[in-house]
Amino acid sequence: MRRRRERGFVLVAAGIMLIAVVAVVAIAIEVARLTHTATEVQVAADASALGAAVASAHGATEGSAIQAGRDVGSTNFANGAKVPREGVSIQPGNYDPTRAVGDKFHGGDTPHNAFKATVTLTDVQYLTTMLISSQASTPVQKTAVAAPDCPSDGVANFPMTICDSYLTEGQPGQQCNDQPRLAQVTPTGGQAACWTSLGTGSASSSTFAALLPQVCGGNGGVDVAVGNPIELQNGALNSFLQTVQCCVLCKDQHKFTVPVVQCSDISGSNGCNGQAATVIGLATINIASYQDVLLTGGGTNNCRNIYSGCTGPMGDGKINNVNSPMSGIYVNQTCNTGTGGHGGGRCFGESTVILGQF
Amino acid sequence: MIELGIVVVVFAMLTMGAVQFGHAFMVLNMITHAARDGAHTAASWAEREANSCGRLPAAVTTAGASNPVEQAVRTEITTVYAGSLNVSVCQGNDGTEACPSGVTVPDAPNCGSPANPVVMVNVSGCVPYLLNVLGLGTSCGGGQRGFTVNRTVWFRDEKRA
Repeated sequence: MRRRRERGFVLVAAGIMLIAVVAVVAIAIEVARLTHTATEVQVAADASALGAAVASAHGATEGSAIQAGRDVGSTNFANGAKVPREGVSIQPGNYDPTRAVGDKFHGGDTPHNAFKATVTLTDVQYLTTMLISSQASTPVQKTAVAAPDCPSDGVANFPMTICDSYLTEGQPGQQCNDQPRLAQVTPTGGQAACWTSLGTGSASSSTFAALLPQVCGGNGGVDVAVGNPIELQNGALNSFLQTVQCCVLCKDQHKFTVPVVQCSDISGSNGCNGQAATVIGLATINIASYQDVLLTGGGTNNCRNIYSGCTGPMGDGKINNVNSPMSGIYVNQTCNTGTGGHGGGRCFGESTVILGQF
Repeated sequence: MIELGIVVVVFAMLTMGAVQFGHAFMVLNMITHAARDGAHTAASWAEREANSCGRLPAAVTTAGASNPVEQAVRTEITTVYAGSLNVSVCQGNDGTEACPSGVTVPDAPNCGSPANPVVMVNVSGCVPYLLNVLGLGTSCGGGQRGFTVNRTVWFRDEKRA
């Protein structure tokens, strides 16, 4: 009698359990899928914010930078389709990394140095939850802020380091201005600068030339990061300076990126005598004219020996150098925006764009 | 006993389905993240070809083991999926292009004014199912079946005006 009453219990229990398990599975799939959609929307927001900040760093007006950010954001895909352009909004504002988390970006505040992008997909259809809910879709919204920062790594393409006291240091996001010409930079002991192989180990004039930008016939430089040790050297290196002089004249290459070290690493008895120093940042130097490269002994530098077809000041590719008491270069510190690399470095005129915290 | 057998089979199928979908979305998420990081790395790649209007060096745009961006993307994906996916890096001018073809950035001074200078990273291929008792899906090679993935992420090229 009792058994007959229990008959069918498993079926009923299984039915109830099945509904519960199906609901749990449906929710699990829905959450996983919405999480993935949220990732795609976040990617579009990152691309939008960076797009606006990069365009601004390249000199675009604020309005154009915002349009550029919206263009890039709406190029990306989310939820199986291109992100609608009207779903991308970008707000300029002020970003200060020293403010507390949650308060770093002030929308609308001046000076405008950052962009906050908000990407919204208004109608992301549910796949399975509509079975247990009357709601058919949900909005998905993500935000990102892109702000200027100073790079902690980058490509150095000039085998020289300048020490920090001789350079002007700013703050992330601060307006950068090209600086006046420095006193002659003469890489010898007790000076503002040293030669360097941009790594550990020494180098000569010929290997120094290989570190120059490709336009100068070099390999384009090497990656340098804050904290890296670089070996310091001194010497006249007239042969290398002649290459630099010709590259400035014949190839119209004036800007070079150098690592920055602390002056205490190269001053006094330390000099540039083969010891190592630690990179603390990157700076871009400008050699305005071939005449800013000075050579002991002077003499004629025939640039056609390096760059065939170079015309030079007299049309024959030759530079007649006056005799300088010391070999060296006159440079000025210059601004270099959009240099790539990671943020978090000290600011000697280089600037990159990073995705910041709010 | 028969009912119990049916219930166990149905529950097992549902559980395996949930695990499979969860794994698939996790892999998709990882691939999207990796493509994003790759695109950002390539877009901010400092070194460009000499005398060009910001053309990425061949080492970055040519597929292979020596491509640093491709390797970074693969390293990021390896933690969840060690199979072979195609990773391509290329540049575009207006955001309508797709990898691997993209556009060839000209030599200076003929740079023009691209409407939307972007760098793209595309990750595509076949991801095998984790649990595939029914033998469904696309052939991934090696006797495995799975689902196809095709993710492209566009970032503004930081070295082109």
